[in-house]
Amino acid sequence: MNGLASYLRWFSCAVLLAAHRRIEFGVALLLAGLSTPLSSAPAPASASPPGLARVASSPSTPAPAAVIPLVHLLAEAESHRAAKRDAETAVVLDRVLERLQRGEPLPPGVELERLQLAAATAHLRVGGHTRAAELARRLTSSAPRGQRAEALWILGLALWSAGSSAEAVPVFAELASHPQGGPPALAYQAMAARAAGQLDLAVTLYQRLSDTAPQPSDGVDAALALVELHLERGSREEAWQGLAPVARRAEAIDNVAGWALLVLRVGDGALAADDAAAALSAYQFLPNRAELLRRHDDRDRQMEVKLAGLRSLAGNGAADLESGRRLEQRRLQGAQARAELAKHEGFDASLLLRRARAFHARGQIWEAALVLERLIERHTRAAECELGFALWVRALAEAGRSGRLDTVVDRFLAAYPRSAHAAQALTLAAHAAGERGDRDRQLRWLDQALILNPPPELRETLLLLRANALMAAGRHDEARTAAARVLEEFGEGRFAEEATYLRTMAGLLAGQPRRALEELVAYRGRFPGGRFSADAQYREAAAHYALNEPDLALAILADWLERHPPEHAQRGEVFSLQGDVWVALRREDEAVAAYEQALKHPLSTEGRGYVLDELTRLHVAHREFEAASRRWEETVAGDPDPVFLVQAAYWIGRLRLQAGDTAGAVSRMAELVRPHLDHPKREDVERVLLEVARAASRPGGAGSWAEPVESWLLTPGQLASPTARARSWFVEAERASLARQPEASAGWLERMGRECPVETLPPGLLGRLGDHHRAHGNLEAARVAYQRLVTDTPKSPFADFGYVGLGEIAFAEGRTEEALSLFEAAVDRAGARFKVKEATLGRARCLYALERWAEARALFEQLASHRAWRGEVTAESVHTLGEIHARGPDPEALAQAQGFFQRVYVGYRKYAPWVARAYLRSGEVFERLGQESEALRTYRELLRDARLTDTKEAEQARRHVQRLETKAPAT
Amino acid sequence: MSHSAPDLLWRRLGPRRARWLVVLFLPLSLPAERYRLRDGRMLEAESTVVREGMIRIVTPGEGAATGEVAYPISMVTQIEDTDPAPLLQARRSLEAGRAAESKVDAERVVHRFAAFPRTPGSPWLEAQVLVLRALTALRRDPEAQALSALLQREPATPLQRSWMTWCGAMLDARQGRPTAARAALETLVGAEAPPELEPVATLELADLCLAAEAWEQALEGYLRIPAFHGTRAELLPRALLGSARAYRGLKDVARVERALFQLNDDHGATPEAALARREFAALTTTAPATSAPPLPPAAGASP
Repeated sequence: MNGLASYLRWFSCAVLLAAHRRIEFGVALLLAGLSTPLSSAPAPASASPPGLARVASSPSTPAPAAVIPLVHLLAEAESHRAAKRDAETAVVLDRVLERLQRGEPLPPGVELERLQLAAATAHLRVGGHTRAAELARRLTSSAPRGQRAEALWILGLALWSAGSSAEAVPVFAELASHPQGGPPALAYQAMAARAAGQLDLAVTLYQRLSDTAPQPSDGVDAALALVELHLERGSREEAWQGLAPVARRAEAIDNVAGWALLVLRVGDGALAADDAAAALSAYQFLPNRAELLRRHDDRDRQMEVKLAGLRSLAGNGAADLESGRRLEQRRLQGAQARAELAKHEGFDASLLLRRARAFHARGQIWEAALVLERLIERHTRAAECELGFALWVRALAEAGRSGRLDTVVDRFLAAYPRSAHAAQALTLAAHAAGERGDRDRQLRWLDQALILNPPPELRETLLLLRANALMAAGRHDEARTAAARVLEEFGEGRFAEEATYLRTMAGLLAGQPRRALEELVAYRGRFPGGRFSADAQYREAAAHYALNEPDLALAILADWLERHPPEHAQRGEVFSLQGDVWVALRREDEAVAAYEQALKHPLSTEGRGYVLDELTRLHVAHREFEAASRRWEETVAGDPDPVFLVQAAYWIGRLRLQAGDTAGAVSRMAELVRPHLDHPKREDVERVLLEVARAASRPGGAGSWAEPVESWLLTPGQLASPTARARSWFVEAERASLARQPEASAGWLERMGRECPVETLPPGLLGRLGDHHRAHGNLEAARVAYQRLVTDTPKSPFADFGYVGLGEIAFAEGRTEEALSLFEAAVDRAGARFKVKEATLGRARCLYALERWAEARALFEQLASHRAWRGEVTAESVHTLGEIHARGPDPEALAQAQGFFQRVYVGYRKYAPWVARAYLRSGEVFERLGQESEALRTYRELLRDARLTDTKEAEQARRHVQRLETKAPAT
Repeated sequence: MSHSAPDLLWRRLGPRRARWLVVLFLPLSLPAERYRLRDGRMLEAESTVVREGMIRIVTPGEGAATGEVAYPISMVTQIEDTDPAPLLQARRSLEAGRAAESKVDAERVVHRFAAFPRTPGSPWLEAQVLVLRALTALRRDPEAQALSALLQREPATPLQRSWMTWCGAMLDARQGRPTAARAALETLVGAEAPPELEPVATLELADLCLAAEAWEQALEGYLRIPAFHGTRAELLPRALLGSARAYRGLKDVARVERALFQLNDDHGATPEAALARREFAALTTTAPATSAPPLPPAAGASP
C-alpha cells in the first residue's frame, strides 16, 4: 500500500503540475490575444511553428518579420515543451530570457523564475549542463521557496552530469532535507560523494539510504553500493555484513546479476582472508546461473515497464527527470553485469568448488565431499572437475570414508591419468589409509602415486611413506629395502635421518640385532641429538638383550635413565626393558623394582598390560598371591570400565584360586564383570565368564555356586535383560560341559536360543549358539546366528565362529566355492582367533573338493603336522593325503598313499570311521599295486574289528573279499 | 452479460475515464474463473450453476421470458483465470504447520471443482494433493491411504507425483515398512528432485537410515542440508542433531562435539538443541548409538 500511495501521490502531482502550467500558458495566450497588440519587433530567424503562430496571431494579419511578441515566443516554447522538443524549447526560452534581460517587459501573468526554471530544465534534458547549471544557480538564490527545490534539482543534476561531483554534493545535501528532495536527493548525494572520492560521506549516505529508502529496490540498491564501497576500501568484514540486509530483501534486488557477482567477490575475499564461515555464508545465497539470469531478466522486464510508465506520465520537472534517469542507469549497470554473468559458463561449477573449499576450510569435510561429488556428477566437462576430483579424494581420505575412496581414486585416475594433482591426492589417500591401519590399500596407492612421476619433493615423501607402511605391515625386509631406496635417491634429502633410522629398525625387527647395533651406533654418530637418538639408545639396549648381553644392556639403560629427563615419554618403556633384563639375570627383586617404576610412567596399553603380567608372574613365583592380587585390584580400582578388565578378572580369579580361595575368586570375578553383563557389544565379558565357569566348577567351588548362576551372577534388575540372562546360561552351559554333562550343556544353549532374540546376544554367544544349532542339525537357526555375527560385528574376535559356521553349512550344502571364501574370510577378515583349526580344515576340504590338489595337499600337511591339533583332524588329514597320492596310477605315489592309510589305521585307532576308510582304501591300493593277497589281508583285518563291522566300508570290504576269494585259491 | 466491477465502470464512465480508474483500481478487483466451451465461447463461472452434470445459465428476461440454458460439463474444454489465492493459502498453512486449516482450504477448492477433476486448468488435483499432504501431516493414516490410492490413477504432474510419493513414504514409515519408505524417499532425493521437496525428503530418509544404523548413509543425508540448503534455517537444527547421532554411530567423537556445539550456539532455543543436551550429556559413553526417538516436527518444515 505504501507503494501505491506514493505512486498515486506522484501521479497526481505530475498531472496537476502539467495542468497548472497549461493553465498558466493558456491564460497568457488568452490575455495576450485580447490585450497585447502585435509588436513591431523583428521576427527571429527561426520562425515559430506555423500552427502555434496562427493560434497566437490574427489569421488575417501576417506577423511583422522583425519582432515576434514575447507572448508568441512563449506560446511557441510551450508548444515545443508539450511536444517534448526540448532543444527547441531551450532555444526559444533563451531568446525570451535574453530579451527580458534587455529590458523587455514580462507579459502579465508570467513569472520570470518560472521561465528560467523551464529553460534550465530544457537545457538539462538536452545535455546543456553548463547553461542549465548557470540558470539554476541564479534561481537557487532568487527563486521563491516553492521553486527553490526544483532549481536545486536542476543544479545538482547538471553538475553531476557535467562531472562536477564535488560541487553537486552540497547541492544534493540541501535538497535532501527538502520535502521535494528526500531519498532521491540522498541517493544522488551519495553517488556524487562517491564519484568525488568522498568515500566516508558516501558510506554514511548509502547506509542511511539503505535503512530509510521508502522503495525497497532503492534501499537494496544503496545497500549493494555500500557493499561495493566497502570492498573497494578493503573493509572486508563490513562488506560481508552489508550483504545480510540485502539477502533479507532478495525480492527487491533489481540488478540480480550484479548482486551475484558482488556476492562472489565478497565470498572470495573472505576465503582469501581465511574467514571460511563468512565465505560460506556468502556463497550459500547464490542459486545456479540459469536461475540468476531468469530472476535478473524478470526484474529487468519489471524495470522496463516501470520506466515506460515514468516516461509516459512524467512532467517536465527535474524531479521527474531524475527518477527515470536513476532507473535507466540501474538497468544499464544490470545489463553489463548480466553480460558478464552470461558469458561465465562455468559459473555453477566454480560456485560448487568455492563452497567445497569453504566447507573444507571450516573442517566440514563430509559436507565438502558431498559438494565435490555434486560438482563431478553434474559438471563432468567443467574445467573445475580436475581439481574437484583431487579435493574430493582429499575430503574422503580425511573423513575416513575408505569405502568410497577406492572408487573415487579409480575414477580420478581414469578421467585425468596425467593430472598434476593425482600424485598429491593419492598421497593423502594413502596417508589416511595408513592412519586407519589399512596397509594394503595404503601401499597400493603409494605405488600408484610413484608411477605418476611426481616432483622430487613429493617423490621423497612417497618413498618414505612406503617404507613406513611396509614396516607397519610387518614386512620388515621389504621395509628395509624401501628405506634404503630413499637413501639411494635422496641421501641428503629432507628425510635422510628418518630413512636411515627406519632402515635400521627394520633390520632389527627382521631379526638382525648385530647388524642393527652397528647401524644404531652409526646413526647416533651421524645424527647426534637427532630426533630418534633417545629411541636409538633404547634400541641398542634391546639389541644387546636380544643378543644375550644383559650387562651391556643394563649399562646402556642406566645411561639412558641418567641422560634423559624424568618426564621423557619413553621412560616407562626403558624401565620395562630394564625389568626384563633383570629377570634374565634372575635378579627378581631388581626386576620388580624396575617394573614398578615402569608403571609410574606413561606406557601404552599393551606395555602396561605386559608389565602387570610380568609382575604378577614374579609375585606368583614367590607365592606372593596377595601382593599380585592387590596390584590388579589397584589397577581396576575406581575405573568403572577398566581397559584391563579381562586381565584383572583373570588374574584375580587365578590368584585367589591358587591361594585356595575359590569362593573369593568366583565372587570377585563376578563382581568385576557384573556391570557389563547387559551390554551385548562388550565382547571381553565372555572371556571372564569362561574363567568364572571354570572356577565355579572346581571341587571347592561348589556350595553356593551350585545354585543357579542367575542367582549369584545377576542383579535383580538384570533378570529382565535377555543379554544378561543369556550370559548366565552360558556359564551354566560351560559348567555342565566341564562337568562332562554334554546334554545339560546343550540344554542351556537351547534355552538361550529359544528365549533370547539374536539381536540381544553378544558375538561370543552367537558363535557358540550357532555351533550348538549346527551340531544338532538345526541349520537354519545356526545360519541366522552366524549371519548376525558376521554382518553386525565383522571385526569381533568371535567373528571367525560365524565365518567358519557359515562355511561348514555352505560346504554341507554343496556350495564349495562359497564355503572356501568363507573359510578364508575367517582367517583374513576375522583373524581366526578361536577357529583357526576349523578354518584351516575347512579350506583344505574345499580345495580337495575343488580338485585343487597341490593347495589341498599343502594344507593337509600343515594340519597333520600341527602338534596342538593332534586328534581326529590329524586322522582325517593323513587319510586325505593318502587319497591325494592315490589319484594317479604312478606306483610310487600309490606306495606313498599306502603309507598314509596305514598310518591312520595304525596310529589313530581311536577314530573308528577314519580307521574303516583307511583300511578299505589301503586294500584297494594294494589291489591296484597288484598285491591282492595283501589287499585280502587288509580287508579281513577291517572285518575283524568289531567296531567297524556295521560300517559301509565293512560292507564294501566283504564284497572285495568275496571277489578276491573267488579269484584266488584259498591260502 | 458480465457484471464485474471493471466492466461496470467501463460502461458508466466511458472507455477513457474508465481506463484510468481501472488502472488505479485494478489490483483490488477479484478474478473469477471462466469456462471455455468446445465451440470457443467463454462462460463466467459466477453466472453459472453446476448441477446434475450440467452447467446451467439463467438467461435474463422478464417474467416468462426468463429461462435457463444448460450445457453438458463435457463441453468444457478448459478452465481459465482460477483464483490462486485459496490454494496458496492452503499451502502456506501447511508449511506453517497448520495442517487442519490447510485441509479445510484445500477441500473447499476440491468441492468447488469437483465436477471438473480432469479438465485442463482445473485445480482439483492440486487441491487433492494438498488434502493428502494435510492428512499425512495430521497422521490420519487410513484416510490418507485411501486418498493416495485414489489419486494414483490421476494424471499428475511430476511435482504432484513427487508429493504423493512423499506421503506414501511417510505412511510406509509409520506403518512399519521402513524399506519401502526408504526406497520411495530415495527417488525423491537426487538430481531431478523438486527443490521444495528434496530437503525435507532428505531429512526423512536420513532418519530412517539412522534408525537402521546405516550411519554413513544417514550422515550424508543430514549433511546435505547444510551443504545444499544452508539458507533453510528451519531445517538446520534437525540436521545437526541427526548428524551428531550419526557421527556417534561412526565413533567420530570430535565431530559429534562439533555438531553439538554448532546446534547449541546457533539454534540453542530449539527443541532439537534441548534434546541434544539431554541425549549427549555423557559424551564419552561407550554404549553405541541406538535408534533415535522420533524428532518433534520442526516448525515450518512439514510437507
